[in-house]
Amino acid sequence: MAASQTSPALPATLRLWAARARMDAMFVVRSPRIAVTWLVTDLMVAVVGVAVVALVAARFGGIGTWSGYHVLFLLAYSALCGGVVDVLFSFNVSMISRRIGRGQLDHALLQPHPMWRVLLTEGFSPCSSAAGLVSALVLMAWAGPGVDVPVGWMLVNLAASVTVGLSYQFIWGSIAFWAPMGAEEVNSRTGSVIWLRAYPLDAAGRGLRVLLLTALPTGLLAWFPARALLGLSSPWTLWATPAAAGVFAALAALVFRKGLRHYARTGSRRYSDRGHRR
Amino acid sequence: MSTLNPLRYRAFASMALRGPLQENPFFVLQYGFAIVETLLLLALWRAAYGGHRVVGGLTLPQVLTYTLMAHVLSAQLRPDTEFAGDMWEGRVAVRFLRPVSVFGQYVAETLGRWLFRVVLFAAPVLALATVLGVDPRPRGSVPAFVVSLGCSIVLGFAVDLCIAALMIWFEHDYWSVQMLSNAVVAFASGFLVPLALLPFGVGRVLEWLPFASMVSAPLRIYVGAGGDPWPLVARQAAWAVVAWPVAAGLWRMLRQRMVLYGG
Repeated sequence: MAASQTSPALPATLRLWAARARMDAMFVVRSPRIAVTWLVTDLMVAVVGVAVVALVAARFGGIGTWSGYHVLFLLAYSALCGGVVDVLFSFNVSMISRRIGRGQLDHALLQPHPMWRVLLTEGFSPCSSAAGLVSALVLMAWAGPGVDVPVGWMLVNLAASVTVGLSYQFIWGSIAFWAPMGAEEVNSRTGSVIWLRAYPLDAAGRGLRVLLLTALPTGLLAWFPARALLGLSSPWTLWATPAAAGVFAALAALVFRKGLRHYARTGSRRYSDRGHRR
Repeated sequence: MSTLNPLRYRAFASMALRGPLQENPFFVLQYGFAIVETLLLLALWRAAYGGHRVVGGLTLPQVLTYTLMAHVLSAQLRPDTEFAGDMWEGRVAVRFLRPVSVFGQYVAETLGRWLFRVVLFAAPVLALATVLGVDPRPRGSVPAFVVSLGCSIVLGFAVDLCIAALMIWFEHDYWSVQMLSNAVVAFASGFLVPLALLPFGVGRVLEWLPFASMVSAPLRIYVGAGGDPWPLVARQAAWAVVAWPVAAGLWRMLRQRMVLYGG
């Protein structure tokens, strides 16, 4: 155990990812009916998630100042953001309040790895949760020829968007440390806003835009970085989402650590194995 | 008293109404986020319409009213009992021990919870409507809308029972069935996008499905779109008459396969 804790971070993380990938592949092979059901469901949910804006854009020939290809890129970026979270942070890592509220954080604390590595790797499911990511890549391939986007900046902003979304969920989810029963499903509520990330916010009122770029950072998950990448806003905005990600991540780490210290004193009497996709 | 006597179920409605008050304050968050979603959709339509006056037979004021009322009446247009969730958690076992209809209990509790949504969401949104630049007043026949809403509620509960029964068929894969049904119903019913505004003739096909009779039909009558409302109401009534025997038959057929884990 001590050797694992002091082993170099990257190889240990990669080994855990590989192990998770193998387990996920084994699940798909062992339970093909369930796996196919999940994949089809995730695919249809991902499609419906972007269909609203896509169909409106198709009917109206764009939305406001967004042309058809711009809207397609926005939807692809939005779907990529969700797809990456699904593949890397499933098994309720992105719904951390459930793990905390159900006393399942002990699973992570018992492992001979630092908490950050456990949370980074435990949700990795590249087979059973790939439907959203695959559909996002198809959308991006469709949108790609019609837009001119710097790929490097796109990857940076995408990583930033994922960080913002995850941090937002962790900030709210940490409430479950103090109210495990009441806040167990708080991430289900807060996550509902993330569904709205595919909507262009140009016509939203100033107050709503400010809200959706700060306290409820839905705008940072797709709309704001997509505008920056498409050149629809000033060049400095390419830095804005990564900077916001730094702020959100720091805040999430602060709140989560505070909650974890509280949890170390109180523990949890609500252990339930429910939630690991039983 | 007969199990069909609604008075037998008022205690369930009362308990459901008081339940959230005894739990935790976070349930209020969902109403806040629902308001945000409503505002976003209104903004989307304003941006999309731009300089267009009429699209698909709908003006921008009609679409804004449609969107606002879809969210105000969301609980009634898409009834969501806790039947499927209770099956997943095994709590439904207790329901069978009571001398009343199992699904009747869920319907009564859903009706009780509606009052929360009216107070915490519907009323504030309607009060803010004019500030948001939306006219919430009906433009169509009010009697037809009331009848249509009633048919929609009846049909919605039948669809909910079908979905709960399908969960058994899918061997209790609750999340998949729930997510899929929510997504399909939200899209195919016209809740998110009025069916008349869907391109490629998709809306004209979806209008014949029962989901459109749940949401699109009453809202079209409300905003005065689509001409004579009574053929729409007749279609809704026909779906309601068909849906309940199908739902009851599915439930009778599948409940013997129910396996409960937990409770």
